[in-house]
Amino acid sequence: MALIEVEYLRKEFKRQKRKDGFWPLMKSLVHREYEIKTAVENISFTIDRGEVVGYIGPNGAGKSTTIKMMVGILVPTSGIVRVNGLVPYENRIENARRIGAVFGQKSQLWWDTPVIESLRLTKYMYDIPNDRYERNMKLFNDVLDLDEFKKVAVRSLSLGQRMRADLCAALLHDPDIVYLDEPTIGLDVVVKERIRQFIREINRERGTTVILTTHDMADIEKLCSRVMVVDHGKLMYDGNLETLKNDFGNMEKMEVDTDEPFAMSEELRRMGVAFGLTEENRTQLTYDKNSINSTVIIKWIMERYSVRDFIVKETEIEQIIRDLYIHLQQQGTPVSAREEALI
Amino acid sequence: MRLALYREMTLNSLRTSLAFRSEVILFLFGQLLRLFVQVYIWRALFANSTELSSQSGMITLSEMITYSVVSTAISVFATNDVIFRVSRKVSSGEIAMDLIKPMSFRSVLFCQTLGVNVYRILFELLPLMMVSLILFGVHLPTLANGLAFLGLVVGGLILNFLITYAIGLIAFWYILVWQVNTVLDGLIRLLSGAFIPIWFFSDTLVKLSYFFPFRLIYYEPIAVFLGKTTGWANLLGLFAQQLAWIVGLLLLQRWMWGRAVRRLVVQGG
Repeated sequence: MALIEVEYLRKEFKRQKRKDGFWPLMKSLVHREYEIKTAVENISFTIDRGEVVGYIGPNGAGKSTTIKMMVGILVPTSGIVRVNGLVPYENRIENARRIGAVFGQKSQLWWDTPVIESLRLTKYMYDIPNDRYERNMKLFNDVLDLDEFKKVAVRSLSLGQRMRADLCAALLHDPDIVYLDEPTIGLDVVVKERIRQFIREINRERGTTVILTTHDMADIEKLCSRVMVVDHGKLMYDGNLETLKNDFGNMEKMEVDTDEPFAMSEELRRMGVAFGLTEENRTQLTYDKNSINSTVIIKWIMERYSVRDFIVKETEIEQIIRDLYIHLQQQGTPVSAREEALI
Repeated sequence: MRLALYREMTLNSLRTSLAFRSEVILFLFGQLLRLFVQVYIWRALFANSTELSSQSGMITLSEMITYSVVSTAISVFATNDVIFRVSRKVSSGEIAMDLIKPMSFRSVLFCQTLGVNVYRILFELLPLMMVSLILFGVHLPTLANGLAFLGLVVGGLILNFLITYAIGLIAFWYILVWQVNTVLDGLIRLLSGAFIPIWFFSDTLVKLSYFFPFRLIYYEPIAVFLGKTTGWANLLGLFAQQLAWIVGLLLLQRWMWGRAVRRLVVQGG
């Protein structure tokens, strides 16, 4: 049985219409007008134990809203969420015992007391046995280096330290699922890497299911086996990262350094190669790797020019997502690798 | 163990308060000043008479001074910031961080408030009482009345928390909490007997005060302290009234909370 089941999930928010001008404003005091905004629209998916799922999409796409329904903070307008067989908003406390959550922009720690006090509190909050608490603390300390700041009040921590402490607090009770809402936002590369390593280890060693939202594609690439893309509240893509790369990362880029300047060639263009930026003797070429192989192009060039150097660049995940977004805007239809795979 | 959790939460809140200890002297000074004003007003009102007639028989000046001191003592921990805490948490979205924890929102707030109260008893109430005992003569109650007084104060504390919490929950619907708080403050000041004992009220006001729970926080416990209310039946009657209000407020809150979470919008991401 799937650990998380989401079926036709929908969340609408009622928002008061703001009026400009004096009379409309006065009128709105007596008669309020509301507009309905749909933040999440008929989303369905299932997540199995031990998966690491990247949940991505532009700002305001409905990522956080979905997560908040899964943790039981928000009540869906319609549809079903079941986590561990429980409906989160009906069994908020029961559900909360088995999950951990980090919301990157907010802290769950006590602001004015030392970090260690907040961590100690989780022991009582989740009834963690002493030995398990000690063991986890030691383990997490090795990866997250908490010792250097655990006696400092949370309000005086740097963002990176606070995030490490928050992660620790969310995982001390060995939750089944951990929801990470932008856990690497605003962090430097070193801290980001450390946090990724920590998440990877937790997932591998404890089989913790991880659901992650992020704007940093490196997080996705380094952690997630599966990606879900949402936009305008709709699930646009759900499948593994490789398939996404194959479907949308098919444009490869090549940079060639030649002795003499490279001339545009109609023949190459017919082969499906496009010319990009050209500066002095360095030429950029892009092509669809599914229809033409890089070796063919290189061979063609080497027969005509003396090549000093060349690099083949795979499309970065950022570009893939950008292409996907553009594709979605043009087509407006969801792509589901999973469904395709089933057919 | 849930109890251990509540203890730890309360201690953590106490620690937070301790981080801001420098306020103590300032607070003490302010409370003493208010107490002086009250005592001198009563002295002026009594003028040359030693006793004034009231709904509870004759009242002496020294009883009134004791009344003011005890009322100030109760106000030290019957003033809480629950209303603002709730509305801040709702309007900033911070409430999400409380809701991901396996604990009821009310318990979180209660422990946080209790921690602040413990701090206030240690660092505000005790010094204030010591100074008051030296400066003004205070009547001491009989043992039975003293114990009943303590029980009623605890009940009043819970009652006060529940009233403020229920009002704080309004923040889920309207962000007008500041104004509501002002109204509440006025009502409490008038109908609780915090400043003017209910025994000096007109008949209409006395009747009105029975429609609100506030008198059970200030006036009734103080009347017990002063020995104006005695006898098991009367004392138990007060406890029963407190209990009834507590149960009523708990039911109200349950109903409010059920509706509140349904319309929760977590602000900011």
